[in-house]
Amino acid sequence: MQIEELSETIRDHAGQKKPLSIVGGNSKAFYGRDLSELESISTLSLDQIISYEPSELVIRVQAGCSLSVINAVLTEKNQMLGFEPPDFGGSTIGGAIASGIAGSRRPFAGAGRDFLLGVDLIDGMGEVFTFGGQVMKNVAGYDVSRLMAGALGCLGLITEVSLKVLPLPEHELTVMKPMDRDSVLSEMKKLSAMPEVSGLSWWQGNLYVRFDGSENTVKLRARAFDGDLVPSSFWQQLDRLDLFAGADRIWRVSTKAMDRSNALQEAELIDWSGSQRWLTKLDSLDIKDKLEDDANDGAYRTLVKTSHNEPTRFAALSVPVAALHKKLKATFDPAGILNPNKMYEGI
Amino acid sequence: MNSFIQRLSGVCAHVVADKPRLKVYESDGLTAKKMLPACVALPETVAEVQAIMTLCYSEGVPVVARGAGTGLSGGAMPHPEGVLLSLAKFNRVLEVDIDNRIARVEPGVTNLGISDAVREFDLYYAPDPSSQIACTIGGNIAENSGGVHCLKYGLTVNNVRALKMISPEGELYEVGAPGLDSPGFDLLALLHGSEGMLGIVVEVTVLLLPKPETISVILAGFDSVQEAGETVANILSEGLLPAGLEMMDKLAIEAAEDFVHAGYPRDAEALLLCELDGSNEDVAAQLYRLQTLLKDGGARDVQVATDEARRAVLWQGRKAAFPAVGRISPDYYCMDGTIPKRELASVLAEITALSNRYGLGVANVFHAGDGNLHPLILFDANDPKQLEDAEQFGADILTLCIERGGTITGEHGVGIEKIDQMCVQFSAVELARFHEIKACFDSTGILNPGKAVPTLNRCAEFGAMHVHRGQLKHPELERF
Repeated sequence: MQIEELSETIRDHAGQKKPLSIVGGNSKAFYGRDLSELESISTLSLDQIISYEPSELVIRVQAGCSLSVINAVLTEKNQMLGFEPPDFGGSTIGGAIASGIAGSRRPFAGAGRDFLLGVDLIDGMGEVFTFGGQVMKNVAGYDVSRLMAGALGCLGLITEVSLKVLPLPEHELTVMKPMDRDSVLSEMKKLSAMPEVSGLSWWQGNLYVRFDGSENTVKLRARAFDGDLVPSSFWQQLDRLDLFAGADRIWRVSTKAMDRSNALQEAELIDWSGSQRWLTKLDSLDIKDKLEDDANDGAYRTLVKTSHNEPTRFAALSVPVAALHKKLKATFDPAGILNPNKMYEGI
Repeated sequence: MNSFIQRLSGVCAHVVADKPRLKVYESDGLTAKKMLPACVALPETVAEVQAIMTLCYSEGVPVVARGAGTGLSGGAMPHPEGVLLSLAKFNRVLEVDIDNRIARVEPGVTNLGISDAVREFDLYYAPDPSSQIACTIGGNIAENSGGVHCLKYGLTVNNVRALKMISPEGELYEVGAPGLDSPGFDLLALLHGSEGMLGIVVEVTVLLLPKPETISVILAGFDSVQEAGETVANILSEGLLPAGLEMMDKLAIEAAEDFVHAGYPRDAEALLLCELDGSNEDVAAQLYRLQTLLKDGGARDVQVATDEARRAVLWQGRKAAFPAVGRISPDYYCMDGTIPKRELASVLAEITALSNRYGLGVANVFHAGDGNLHPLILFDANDPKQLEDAEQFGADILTLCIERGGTITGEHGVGIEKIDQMCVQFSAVELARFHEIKACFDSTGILNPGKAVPTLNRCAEFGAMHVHRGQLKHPELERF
């Protein structure tokens, strides 16, 4: 389906108040409430690269374009998506933006929202919009583009995105060495101040560091770190949650990088230079308590993936912020048909 | 109104209502648009802001928030029947968290004040609009301010982690988080660049960056704008990501050189200023590649400055470009369009043609790395015809930017100045959606009414309906 047909389908469904599940590569179906019972609307036919000029540092692509195709096109010109969206297998750029899931470079380069310059979208009434643009600075009108990043399709179906891209580093090396849990945060703090660091994680008693930049500098840094070389594919495995294959539940805690009180002792993976911690051992009885602890200390817990018959869970919103969510949902999707309840009940 | 001012004085200790003192607030940096507010409130505490908003909300009194008043689009121009809410007394740095490289500050802290407060820890706050010694972080959020380093380090929205806001009803809420992510929709992004239309910022958590080990500034002169533009394209496509990449044209170079004597090549048609930062080793490697690219691009008069004093001199010409132009013309009008970089040479040629047509000079300074153009139109405000022509010239430049795939404002905001051009850039449904978004946050429309987003009627009256990609905007409105 092309944009006109997608828009018509949504308009029809809005009229009949029939909900739709927006699907791209269907690679992140685990994330958010399971909507597989609903009729789906696919973005996969929107698979064109609209424009790409390396000297503009901007690529404009349709939402159904796969990450693998985009990455190949960018790599050919020595550029990349700075937020390193994980490819869970057939993942699309629309899904990468809508989910807000970013990879290991996140603390050093930014998330999808930081690279998003503009979106075209269809709202819940089938109305077609263009927000933002293809230039790096644009403050005309409210920043609706970034509002779509991480909204999990609850506010509209993204048909096209314009993204800032980054040059590929000239050289890159990943190294690891053993590090005990108690030393890891202070080591991460020290390393993260270095401009050549673009990945910083702790897994099973080892600290993993990715250095990038000019070849000589990278070699110098890696030598000084004095660890073992690791294939760079480590970061893709980590970002795809492959390290947790077989886990019943995967919890993510987003917090301050040097937070010593939240999930530090239980974390199996400490990622993003300390600001993202992953756990698999919390049992379901803890869920309610843990979610209600949120925001007291600026740490937020998400049940990212579960093999049980239970929805994934997002941290609770404060009352005024939840009210704003409801109003924005009612504005963009008054019939409540786009990915209903995907992230929060009633939204 | 008098009894309202009495009630306002009951909830806020500092209220200004006498005309001579109100004059201070009659405009922001866009001095062509002036209006006296009914009164000015200068709260000192969050509770006072809440009480002011509650009162204004219950009585339907408009509220216009103001930081330092350095904005260039009239976003802080007062409302004649409203309260001008100055956040000037919110000027404290509340907490510097060195471990997490974040700081909590009040909205009235100046942009440079944040970097000053963390300098001893070898940290800084990256976005640096030219007005950084005076402009406040609250105003930076309202405008999503940029600066000369945003190619590499991003805009305000990329450097702020969390906000405490007061709603029009006086309710306190928080968006964002001290960590990298927060749950739900990205309200933090939506509030950036919202020009005081959606809420009042009372606290900001900013990201701090470690100071780079080395900074080098490279200046290069060119015999044509075309050559300089092509060199910018080559630098970026060859994989260099400079911290800053600025261009100036001949008139701007001459004005700046006459003013600050930075050693700029007066006979060059265009000048590039490029800043590289990072570790010693990496900057050396980047510098080598850059010099090759400059040489291949036809650059001459290449100067490299690594020590702080010399770097400051090279930057000074660029940073003083606006006042330098102010010396050669009684008045100037600063535009803020953004274009794809490939359009640079042809857009500049068209601006020159417009300059000849209107008989008004124009000096161009340009954030070349991110396509943000600042043409400075020279005119004499004492001549009403020149003022009118300058405004029309500016409007033509903005239309040109939209036609070339760009936008009417890269970093200065729409405010009152560019509100008519919004009708050209956005369709009726998009503008209507902006109004609906405002209503989600401000149901009665008391925050900064009449700014940033035009009413559809205004667009119809504006008349300059542009046919864009063969589509007439606002087909639903009758035309005469």
